[in-house]
Amino acid sequence: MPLDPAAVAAIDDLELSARLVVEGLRTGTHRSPFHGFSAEFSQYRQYRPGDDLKHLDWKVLARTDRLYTRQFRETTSMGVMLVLDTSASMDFPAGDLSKFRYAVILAAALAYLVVAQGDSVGLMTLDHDRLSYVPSRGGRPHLRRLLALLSGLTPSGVWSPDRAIARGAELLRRRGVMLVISDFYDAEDETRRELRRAARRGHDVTMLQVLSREELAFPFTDDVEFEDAETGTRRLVSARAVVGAYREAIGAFVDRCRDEARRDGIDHALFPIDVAPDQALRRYLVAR
Amino acid sequence: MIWLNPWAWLGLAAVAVPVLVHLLARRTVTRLRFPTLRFIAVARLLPARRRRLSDVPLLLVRVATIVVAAAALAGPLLLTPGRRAAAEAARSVAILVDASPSMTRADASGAAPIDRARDAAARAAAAAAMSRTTEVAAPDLDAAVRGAGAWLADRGGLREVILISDFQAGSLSAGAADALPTGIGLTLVPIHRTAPSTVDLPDLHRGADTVARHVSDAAVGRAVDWIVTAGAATSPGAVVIRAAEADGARAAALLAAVRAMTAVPSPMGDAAPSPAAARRIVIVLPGAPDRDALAGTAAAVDQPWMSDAIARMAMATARVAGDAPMATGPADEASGAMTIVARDGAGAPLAEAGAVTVDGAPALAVFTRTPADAMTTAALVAGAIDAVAPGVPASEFEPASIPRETLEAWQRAPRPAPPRADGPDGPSDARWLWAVALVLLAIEGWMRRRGGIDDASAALDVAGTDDGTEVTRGRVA
Repeated sequence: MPLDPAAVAAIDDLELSARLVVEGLRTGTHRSPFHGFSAEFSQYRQYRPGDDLKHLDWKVLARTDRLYTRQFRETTSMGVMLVLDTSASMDFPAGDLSKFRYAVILAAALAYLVVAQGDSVGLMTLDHDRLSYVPSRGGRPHLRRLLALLSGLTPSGVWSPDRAIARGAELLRRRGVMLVISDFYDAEDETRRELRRAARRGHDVTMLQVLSREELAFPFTDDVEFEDAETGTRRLVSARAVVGAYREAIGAFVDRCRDEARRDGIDHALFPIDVAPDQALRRYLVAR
Repeated sequence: MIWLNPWAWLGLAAVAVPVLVHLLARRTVTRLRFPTLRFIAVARLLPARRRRLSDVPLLLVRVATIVVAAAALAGPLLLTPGRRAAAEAARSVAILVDASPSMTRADASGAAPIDRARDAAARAAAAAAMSRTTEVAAPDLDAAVRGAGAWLADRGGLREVILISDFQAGSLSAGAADALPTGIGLTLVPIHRTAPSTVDLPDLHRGADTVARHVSDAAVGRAVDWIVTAGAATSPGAVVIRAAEADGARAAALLAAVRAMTAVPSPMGDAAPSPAAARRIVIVLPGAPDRDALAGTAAAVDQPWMSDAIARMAMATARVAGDAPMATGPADEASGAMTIVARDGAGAPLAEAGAVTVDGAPALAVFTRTPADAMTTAALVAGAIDAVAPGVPASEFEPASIPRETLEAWQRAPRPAPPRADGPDGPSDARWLWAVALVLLAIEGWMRRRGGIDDASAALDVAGTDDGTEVTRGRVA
């Protein structure tokens, strides 16, 4: 039975929340969803620029004239970097279960999962325009430290996703997994550029796009004065008059995020926050 | 389909409430902190107060809910063939037979109309499951109809009051059916008198107006003819008013006054004159063409009925007040060959009477000196009528019946009594309408909750799963 997102969000102890989510998503999954590069062969995947040529399967190339890279199960510790959007736009909707709270729970659950399987995890975020990060390490003490940092974060202001992503990619010394949790509203072009760059560095990059149902469906009918959470700009509109254009625009935006991510070899996952986090994570991890 | 509580349709006025709400509702502006404005287009605000109805589909649902609820409150009852047959089988009838004097006196056919009325009542009683026949002697048929309605009020099935009468004008009011409880029908069965063959006088007209009317009294075997213009046909036992042509316009006032006076009981009592006597009284007004000729032939009263008539006319004129002061002389006081019937305050004679022969038959001629519209004249005519047919109420002198078209309009079809709550059919068919109203309420609630979200999934068409989550791999072949 999926966890109630609001119930999970109401748990103050982030470690407990993360454990609940992870226990839930483990049902039906038996292998690590994160694949590194190791001596133990895991699977093939299509070659992409930046892959080490030594992992290219030359025999397959000779037979099929296609480029495939052999993946190996990580035998050494795999590095995972969580990049979390802490901008004010994530502080929506008002109440216990905001996008930010949902993103924090996702991040905590992923960290818990990574540490539990013996890998290392780090966190990169921006705290009032100042980069704040925890390097990628393993172990329970490190996990608690990371969760403590996550618990202390509050969404505010704007953030520079390009800086956070670029710095996060740098901090992963070896090729690792980078999970960017955001609504991806800010600096769309710069964000895309840095994500692409991180992928070309060999990282396994995933965009975890967290959006609320209100943003997707725009369930407003009366006159509403919208205030931009980050800039404070106000706009008074008849919601009924703009709902069509809004839905079209938000749909196009999500499509664009997904299509461009796919084009750049980046995973993309959409997480409406009214979906149980364990359920959403399971879908994402199974898809990997 | 009938409605057990038709007044409940007044509830339709409540339709105005949602219409006004949709027409006048003023929108309020809410402020909302939103992640980004980049997808919210700049749009012109709609007017704060709408001049047109907003959200018409929702309004239609709300109006339909109220209409259906009002219909349910009105208690619809579908008259299925089965229900109609059951109601017919349990038909209760209250039969009223008019037994007033106009119905009990034999007409030209030799039989009284009440005999035919009784036959009709018997046939109606035989066709009903339960019936009660009552003969009503009082002239007020309205009270009898109300009493019959009270008797039927507690009965089930079809209920009906059948009134059999000659329906003289004024005997029944237009509101008789309305006084009955809801659902009780009223059927009016007219019984027509056969007019005496000796009397064949049409109503007299001046232009389009009826100025005099033929009145018959078959009980005494005579006709009483009021003729304003001179020279018309007469018949034995009649009261004939002869006047100048110019007095024709005053006929209506005269007749109205006479009717009012004949409603007062006669001071001479109800002693009927001898049936064998052929009484004819001719009231000769001033200016009548044959007044002088008739006066020239007048002789002293020589028959008892004439003396009786003079006495009745003298008593009638004595009751008149407001006319000229008048003293009435004794019946036997004679002025020449004639007897003075009435005097004015100074003692001068206002009317004299003498025996004459009209069309070969003896008659009593009364020569008045008062015009047609004088109260004394009306009193004389009333006294003359009393002499010809004593004790007969004024209405009995008005044979004009309520027109058949009017009677048909006053009738009311019976409707089955409301089924008992513990009966197999239940109280009414309202429960189906209530079910529809509940469905409409549910739809209204759904539409209200739905609000502006036409289809949330449409906005989530980017989603790859039912709940909107979507995972897209970047490493696709």
